[in-house]
Amino acid sequence: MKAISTQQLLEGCLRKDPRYQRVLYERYARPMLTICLRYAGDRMEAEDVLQHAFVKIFRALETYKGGSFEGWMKRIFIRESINQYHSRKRKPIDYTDESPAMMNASDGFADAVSQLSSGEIMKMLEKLPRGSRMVFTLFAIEGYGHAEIAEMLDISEGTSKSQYSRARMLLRNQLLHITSP
Amino acid sequence: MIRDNEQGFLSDKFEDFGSEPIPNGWSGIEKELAKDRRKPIPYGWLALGLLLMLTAGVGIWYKSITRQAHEISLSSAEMTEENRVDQSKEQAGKAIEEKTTGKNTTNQAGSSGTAMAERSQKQSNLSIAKTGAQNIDFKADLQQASHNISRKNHKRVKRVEGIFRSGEANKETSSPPGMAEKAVSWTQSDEPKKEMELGDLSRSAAKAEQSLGAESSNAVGSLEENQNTTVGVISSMFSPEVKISSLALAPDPNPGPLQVVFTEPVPYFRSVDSSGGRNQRFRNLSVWLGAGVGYAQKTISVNQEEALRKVDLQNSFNGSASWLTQIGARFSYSLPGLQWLQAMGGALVGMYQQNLKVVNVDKQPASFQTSTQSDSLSFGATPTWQKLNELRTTETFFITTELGIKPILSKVHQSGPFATVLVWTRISENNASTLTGAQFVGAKSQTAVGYKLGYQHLIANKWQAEVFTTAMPQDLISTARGISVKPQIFGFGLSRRLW
Repeated sequence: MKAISTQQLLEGCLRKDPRYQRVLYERYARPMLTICLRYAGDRMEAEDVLQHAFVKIFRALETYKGGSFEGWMKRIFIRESINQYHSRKRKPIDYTDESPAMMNASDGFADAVSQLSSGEIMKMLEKLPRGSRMVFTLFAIEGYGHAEIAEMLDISEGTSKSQYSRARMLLRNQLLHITSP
Repeated sequence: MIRDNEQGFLSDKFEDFGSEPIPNGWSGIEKELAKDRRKPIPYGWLALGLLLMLTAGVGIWYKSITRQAHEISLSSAEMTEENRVDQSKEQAGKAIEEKTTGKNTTNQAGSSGTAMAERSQKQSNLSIAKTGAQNIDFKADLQQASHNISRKNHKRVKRVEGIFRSGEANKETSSPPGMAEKAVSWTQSDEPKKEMELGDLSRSAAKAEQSLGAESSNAVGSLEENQNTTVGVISSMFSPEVKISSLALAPDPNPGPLQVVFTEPVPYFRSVDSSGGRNQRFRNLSVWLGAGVGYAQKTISVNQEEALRKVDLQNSFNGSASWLTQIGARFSYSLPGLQWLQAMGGALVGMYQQNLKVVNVDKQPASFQTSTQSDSLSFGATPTWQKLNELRTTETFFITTELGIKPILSKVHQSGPFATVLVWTRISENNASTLTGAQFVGAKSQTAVGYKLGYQHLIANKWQAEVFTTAMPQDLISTARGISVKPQIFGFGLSRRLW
């Protein structure tokens, strides 16, 4: 089968052609699962989110109005991951509004983390509280600003910042544990 | 402050990071998407479609049998036959008169205009007199004759219109000028195709005259005495000397083909004025008084996200039990020109009782209800879970008004399926719970629209039974947070016909 462009893929999916839908799934399932894994508690939950989000995407494809298709999909997957978490747990994530830790740029945190492999970073993230983890993932990995994160998680911008600081501090502690003998 | 350039600093790191999805991941998605492709037709549309098809089928069927059985047209041959009977009668009458009076009336050409009246005075027991006193006698005789026929005349009565159109024709064609002719339409009892027995052409004039008199008496008497069971139209062209206007024997200006129409007992109002009384009939209307009861269960669902407590259904079967009792009045109206279709409506008052049996699972102490995972860890305590049985009872009083249609499958039993649109209006509500401090979420609205589907059947004289299903609108009933109850009520009712 010759390579299908994203445009052709979208047109096929809009016609609800199962062949095109499958191709779209196969093309994006891997990166999207990675996104789901960042937010989900475990792999099973991530697989669930992946399935729900893909169904949602196929159903809402008419609402896609151009731009980066992958970016549009990514947003849906992140949102679905957050929703899924909220629906599975009775209680919302505890985004405790702590005072933002005053950290300066020279603490070498970013450089230290950057030296770790993706797998190692993921393992560290799994140990974070869910609220902090979500904010950190959205800010440091997905690249969203605090205003966007606040809107997505329905929290204040200040809370987002403080949660990021908290995650940063906890990760730094983990880094210290790893590096100390 | 945290540097802004930390935003997305790990993006590159995770660009190629990926995890392989499970091999059969697509099958689950495909299954979900397949559901969209073959969207099930909603049950409501199915029911409506079925009802429409049924209605159309019944309509076609009814129309065909009506055409065959109820429309009897007098053929021109029959008309001619009737004319001959009349002429024969007249001749025979003259012969009798000759016999009894000794006069040869056949020679009295030109005076034949009064021949009919004179014959009646001398020959018939049911003579039609010129005077008022004779009128009274005539009416008495008519009533007596009517009484006889009314024994046979029960529910079905045929209306015969425009018999003897030839009366008019005779006047113009075969009768000598000035001669009085009779054209009487008459009401029969039970036999659908009974034809007027005017006798053989060879019968004696006296016999023919008596027969005619008796039949017309029956017809008039039946009309007078059996208002509820007999519908008759008597059109006549009576002799000017016959004063029977008080019997409401109006001439039919447009006598059409003979039609036999079955009718049910019809309600009427009698208005009395200076000229006498007049009955205003409601042929197509019937009014019923009745009651119904319904039951529903297994209709509860829980949304844990919204529930104040963690709620478990005690079991799926006994989780909910709802009762519906109603009493009220209803009407049905046979649509003009569509006798196979009735419009129906009514107003009922009733009570809806809902019993919910649930098990609440509470964290103890209660403060843990609002705690988070981290809180519980920081308290260093392990919460205990306590099961609390609860019975929630809601009694709602309401009024329903309904309007709908009912195609008639059996005219005798007035049976058929019906569909109505219901408007529920809540009057009051009582809530109770066996659990202290239980909270109820108030009903959202005072009125709600629903539907009712069912089948009605006349089980005995004036008694009608019905089975029905209806959905109690959710918005009308208070409930617990996170618990929704959507009862589909199945029930039956019994009504008695007032009209």
